[in-house]
Amino acid sequence: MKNKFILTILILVYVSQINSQDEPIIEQIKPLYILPDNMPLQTKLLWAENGLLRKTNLFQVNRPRELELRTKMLQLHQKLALGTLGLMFAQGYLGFQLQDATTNYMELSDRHAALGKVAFGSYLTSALLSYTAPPAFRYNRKIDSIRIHRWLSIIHFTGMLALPYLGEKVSGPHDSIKSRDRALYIHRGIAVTTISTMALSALITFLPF
Amino acid sequence: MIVRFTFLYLLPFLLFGQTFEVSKASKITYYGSHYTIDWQGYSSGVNGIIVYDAVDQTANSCSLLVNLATFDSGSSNRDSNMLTYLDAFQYPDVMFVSNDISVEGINASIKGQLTFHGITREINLTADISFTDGFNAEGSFAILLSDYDVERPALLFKKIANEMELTFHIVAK
Repeated sequence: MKNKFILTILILVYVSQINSQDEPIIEQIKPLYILPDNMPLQTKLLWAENGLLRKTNLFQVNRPRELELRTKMLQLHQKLALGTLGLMFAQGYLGFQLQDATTNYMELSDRHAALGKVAFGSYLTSALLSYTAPPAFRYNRKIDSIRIHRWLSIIHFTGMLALPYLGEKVSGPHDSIKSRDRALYIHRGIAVTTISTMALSALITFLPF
Repeated sequence: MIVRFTFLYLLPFLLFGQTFEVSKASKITYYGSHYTIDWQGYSSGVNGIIVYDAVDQTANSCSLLVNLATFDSGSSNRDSNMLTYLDAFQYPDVMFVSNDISVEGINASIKGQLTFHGITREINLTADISFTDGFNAEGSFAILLSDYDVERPALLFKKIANEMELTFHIVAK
């Protein structure tokens, strides 16, 4: 009986205490339901209150559903990105084999081109899932692992877009061996940079901050 | 009149001990673990009250509430995922209520109800308490996410650890 009475008093004091807080409890809950104010540019273009997806009435602001969708999209992005990274390493291995090939050059070249298309498609799908995902609950103003991950993505995204073109340049007609070697040198350099940045970008996500 | 007023003012304290309001200096930290990474997130958004009676220990009680959105792990992505997995829109708060606190010196044994993810379970914990500049309590306890029906997120095809340690530093004035 005494415990119940104390609990009632506690609740009454607690309720009055909530109302007297400098920051009312509703103010703490509010950010869950509103869009974060410092979204990355591509997220803002799509998901801000006046974003493309809102204007076309495809998605009205619904944070619970958006955060759930975001989690699913980023999980798929993570799996696809890891698969793509594996494909890129295989591509690199084939590329180096192709460089030294003598008898089976055409076979390796076809395989390299076919695998390149799969890796490119997988990469673009993965990138699309990440870049178009709904906004997070909040975005830290300080540098965190995901922000570095995003910065690195600019490098490997540019590299990935350039690689098919550079690959065509290598296999295309050349005036001289020197010109082919130069095209190969650029293609190889960009490929190594792209794969390294992708691997680093994946590893960065395992940092605790 | 003054005596009557003073008596009425002091009555709750005489009956129920001294009431402390939890301040923003309080901090609750959780420690998550996965085979690839260990991380922690903290919240300074602890609200609540603590009633302490040095004479009648049956009057001791506490009521604490933390909004999940106030936890910051340093990674906005991880925090967003955490809110999704904890169904934070449906269950926005973690609450701890106890009216079974026994104090012996600087040690307090606390038995209370922890409500998390909409599920209430009884937990026992210990805390070191002091009364320098108000009321201070420090301690730690562990929970199993499965006890609170929390679906655990997976990273690299493996779920995060089921056990989660929490530490608290409550400052109340």
